[in-house]
Amino acid sequence: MHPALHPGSPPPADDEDVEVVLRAVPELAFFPELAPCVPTDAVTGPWPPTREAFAGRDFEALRAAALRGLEALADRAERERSGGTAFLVRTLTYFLVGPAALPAVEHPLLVALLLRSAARAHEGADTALEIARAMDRWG
Amino acid sequence: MLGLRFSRLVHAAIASGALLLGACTDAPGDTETETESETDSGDTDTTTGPDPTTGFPPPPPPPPGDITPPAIAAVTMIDAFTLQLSFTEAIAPVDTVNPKRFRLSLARGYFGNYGGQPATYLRDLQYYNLVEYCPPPPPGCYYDPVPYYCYYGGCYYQPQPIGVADVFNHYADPTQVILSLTAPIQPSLCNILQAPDDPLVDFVLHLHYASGGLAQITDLAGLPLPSLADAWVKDPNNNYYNYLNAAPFSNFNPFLPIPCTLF
Repeated sequence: MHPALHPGSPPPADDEDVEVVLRAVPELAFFPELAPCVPTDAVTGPWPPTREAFAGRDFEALRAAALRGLEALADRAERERSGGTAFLVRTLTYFLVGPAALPAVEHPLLVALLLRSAARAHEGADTALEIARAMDRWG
Repeated sequence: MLGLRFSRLVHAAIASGALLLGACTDAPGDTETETESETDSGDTDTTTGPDPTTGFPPPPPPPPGDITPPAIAAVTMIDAFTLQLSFTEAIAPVDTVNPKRFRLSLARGYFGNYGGQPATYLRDLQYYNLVEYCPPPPPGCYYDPVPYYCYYGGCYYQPQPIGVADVFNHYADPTQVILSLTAPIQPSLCNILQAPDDPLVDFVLHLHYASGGLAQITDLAGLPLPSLADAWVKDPNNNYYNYLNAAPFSNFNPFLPIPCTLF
């Protein structure tokens, strides 16, 4: 598991730490609190899919589900005293809803969840490593 | 790319105070105290200037001479054996400069954020500068029909290291310095610079320089050229060096990739 997501991990202390914590998004997408957020509608096409594969979709349900999942993860972070998880959850929530909300295809957690839904159609693709590689090629 | 864009947004939000690194801020009283003390000291500094009632201030010191050290502005290939360094100002004679202060690397930058950390990987040129070598067949193989043992595979590629053999001032332009190389740059090296297989990876040919000590590169005022990613020069027996967890090529200051214009 990414060290920032471990119980008892310290919060980031500087810019370099922030960079390290932000890279934990693919693994965070596999936490059980976010499992119900993975969309169930099938995505066809080659792996890895690009953002164009999701064009024209309505992401509001996904956004609402992700928000609930992040609230549950915030409870976990507090319970486990995980500063890294708490920072990541706070950051992802900040850019999920409110005035700073990003489009779904620009939000790393929503992209990771969309990729997980697409990975179901590809043998061996629904792993944190494959999702991470697909995020790097997302564009 | 997604990770880079998001990272910039996060750092901007942290800088603006919209996002906090830790869950709790410092006690407000402490912050205010620090701010006040800083403000107080600033006020004190402002009021401790020369007393205007004591007479005219001393004349200002004469303007200093050249206080700007030289810098490399560009590195270009003249031919397969020669590099040309363009400087921001005229350079003193380099006759005594040890060419081992320079070293070339093939730097590979990885731009991903999630599938691997952004980093710069330095590699010795010998792994990419390949020379085709075709050993002559043994004498018996000139006969016809050719014996079976003469089909030995023919040519193969072997690595060829490149070092800096000598350093010269340009004969006409004092802002230029010429580096001659110990071996020619081969097409295989240029091929990898021009066509990386992975869009998240970029290859550049880059020069490194170590300053310090005697007989270094200086301008006409004696100010030395600063080092340029000199860890690669100071460890000449190491053919690998990694700058992990940093923006690709951020170890180069200035970043001056050498374009391949030969093939």
